[in-house]
Amino acid sequence: MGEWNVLADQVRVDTFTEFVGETEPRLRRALTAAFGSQSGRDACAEALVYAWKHWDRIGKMDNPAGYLYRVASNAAKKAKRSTIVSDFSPVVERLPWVEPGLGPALASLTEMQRAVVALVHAWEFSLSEAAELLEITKSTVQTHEQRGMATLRRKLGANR
Amino acid sequence: MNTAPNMIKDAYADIDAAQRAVSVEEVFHRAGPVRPLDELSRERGSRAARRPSRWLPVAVGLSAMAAIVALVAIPFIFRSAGDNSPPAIEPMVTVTTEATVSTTTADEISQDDVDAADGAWTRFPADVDLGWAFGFFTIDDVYLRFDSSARFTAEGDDPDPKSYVWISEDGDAWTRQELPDAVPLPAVWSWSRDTETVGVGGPYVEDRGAEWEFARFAATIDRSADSPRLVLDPIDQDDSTSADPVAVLPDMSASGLTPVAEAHFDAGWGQLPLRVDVGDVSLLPGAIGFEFPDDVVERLPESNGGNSCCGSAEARTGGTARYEFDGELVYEEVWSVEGQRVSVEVIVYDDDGAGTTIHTGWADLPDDLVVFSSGHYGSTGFPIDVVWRSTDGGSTYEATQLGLAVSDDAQWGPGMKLIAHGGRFLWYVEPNSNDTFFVYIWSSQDGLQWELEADNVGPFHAGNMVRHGNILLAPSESGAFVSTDGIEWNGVRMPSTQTEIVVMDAGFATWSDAVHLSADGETWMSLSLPESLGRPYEDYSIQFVGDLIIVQSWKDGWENSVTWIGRLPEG
Repeated sequence: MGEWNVLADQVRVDTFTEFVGETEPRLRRALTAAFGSQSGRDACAEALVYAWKHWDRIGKMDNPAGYLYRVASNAAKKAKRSTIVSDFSPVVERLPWVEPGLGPALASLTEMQRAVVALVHAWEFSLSEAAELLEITKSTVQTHEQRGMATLRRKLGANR
Repeated sequence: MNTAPNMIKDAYADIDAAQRAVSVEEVFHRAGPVRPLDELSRERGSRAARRPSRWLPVAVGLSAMAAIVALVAIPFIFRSAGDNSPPAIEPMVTVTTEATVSTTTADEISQDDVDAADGAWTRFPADVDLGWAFGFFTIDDVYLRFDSSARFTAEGDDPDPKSYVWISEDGDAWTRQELPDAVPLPAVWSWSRDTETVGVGGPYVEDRGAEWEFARFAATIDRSADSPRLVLDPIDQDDSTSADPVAVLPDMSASGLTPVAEAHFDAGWGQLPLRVDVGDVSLLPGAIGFEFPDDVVERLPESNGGNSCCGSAEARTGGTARYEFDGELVYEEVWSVEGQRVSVEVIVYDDDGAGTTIHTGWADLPDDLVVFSSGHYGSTGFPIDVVWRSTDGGSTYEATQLGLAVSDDAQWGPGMKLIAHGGRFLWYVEPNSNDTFFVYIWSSQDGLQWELEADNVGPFHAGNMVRHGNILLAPSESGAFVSTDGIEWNGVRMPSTQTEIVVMDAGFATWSDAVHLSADGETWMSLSLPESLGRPYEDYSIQFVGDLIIVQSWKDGWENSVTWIGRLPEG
């Protein structure tokens, strides 16, 4: 019986490890976009810890990544982690061709607009992929993308 | 091109490159004791338990490694301090209550603010809650910190916000000078030591009716009065074609880069940001591009970013950049290169797939540009994209022609670096930076003939390489690598796993839970951060200006940011 338990646990570890490998990059990037580099990464790590502790349930979900995004998002909001501007200081200092106003312009977007804009434009998610991760409809993703980009272009003085 | 999608792509690629992935080991560690390990230890007698799980060796190895690193690193880290505790930073700022300003408003600094000083660190005046942490420079040996009475939020109290600069000669006493109305409310400041130019952009507060403004000024220090004053002379930008009017080219000497004069493009704007020089040969790692006129923009599809591409590679060698959205081709940029002239044709496609040319633009590259090169920066799905050409347009080279194994995998920001070092160009490439960071090193005298000097060096992050004097330092996952000739690299331990290392006057610095300093990249010492930095804070940034260390922490947004100042220890 003990051997069965160990084997079952091994399977559990293996499936979770595989899940982390597949899910972590997009989850972390989406949360980083929404809540900033440090807070986003922390939220991602905490969400994955939550997933590990509840893997028997979460591992069976149709869209565990989307569920974890909501878990992490709620946790980050409760922690009032909402600054993203700071994340761009190293970027602007090192890369003169990166618009310095990008950080504050992104910070002015809603969390969802920021996440969508980053997923679609930085990570080249399709609208469907972004919709799945954020657990919203494709048309809602498109709305957030268009409004977010319109705001960014206006604030950055960019025509495109 | 410097379009909004490209800005986003570049910025997030850089963040992603500097961010550690959350590993499954970290998850297990954060989760605390996990059932499989408990089970394994309890069922020691079973056959399965004697067969280690796949991740058990990793966990044990990590634990052992951590213990070894701790044993080795602790005395190493604090060797300079002579004991096992981080040395305290020498107290430095005694904020004067006798602020004097020669001609403008002088704000008295409350002594209450000084009382908030925390141990070896001193809190900068509490009313200086800069919304942007960049505005800290030394110009002509004077410390300057830019500020404004406007803040990020529209609820700011000041109906007539002003721009200010805090000035100090010694880092101890600070005075505040109001800046002319011609200076936009500072949202962004930049300073070029080479051109003695200050760039500023702002404001953020949109509903005050102000538009985002950019301006550039020649900056000098006036010492004719009792206290030094900053004098800003506007630079006429009517004939400027800079893509980013606020981004004055920064002092990049630590990177071996030299600012390039702005390239003039007759069709829209373009930028040639930085160049690397060896003798009379220049290589340009960077982007060029056009901004299309308004009438063209109005005809472009609104959503072009789903599969957007910068087009800069095509701009260098000719070719077509295709922009798709949801799988549908929406427009193309057809680039051609002839001599010094780079041209582009923009074709928009309708729903039926019919294409219409809506714009043709061109630009002449500077005559003194001998060679330029570039790498495709921060994109997914593209192989390493390095090309350069001679100015006669007759010679075009691609990375594969060097015999370099180019990966088909995505390449991220730290994937390459071009520097001038030891009288030659050195080009560092990580052929497959997603998996490993082993580096290929190529050298060239003329930018055309290249020799492979070394392969599989490292692994380190070539793109994050910095230089102080003749010492090159590149961070890696487990420490850093140091070199003086750029070819031979030696691994060194680092007290921080941060992949960002900055160059300061006295050497190198990085930070994580403490500030870590090194003069030679090999011997590091750690300085504790202000204790109350963490009561509470969300994040913090650090700048090194002269012998000052400026730490800015914040919580609940920038309105509650706090600045602390310490001084580098002597020696």
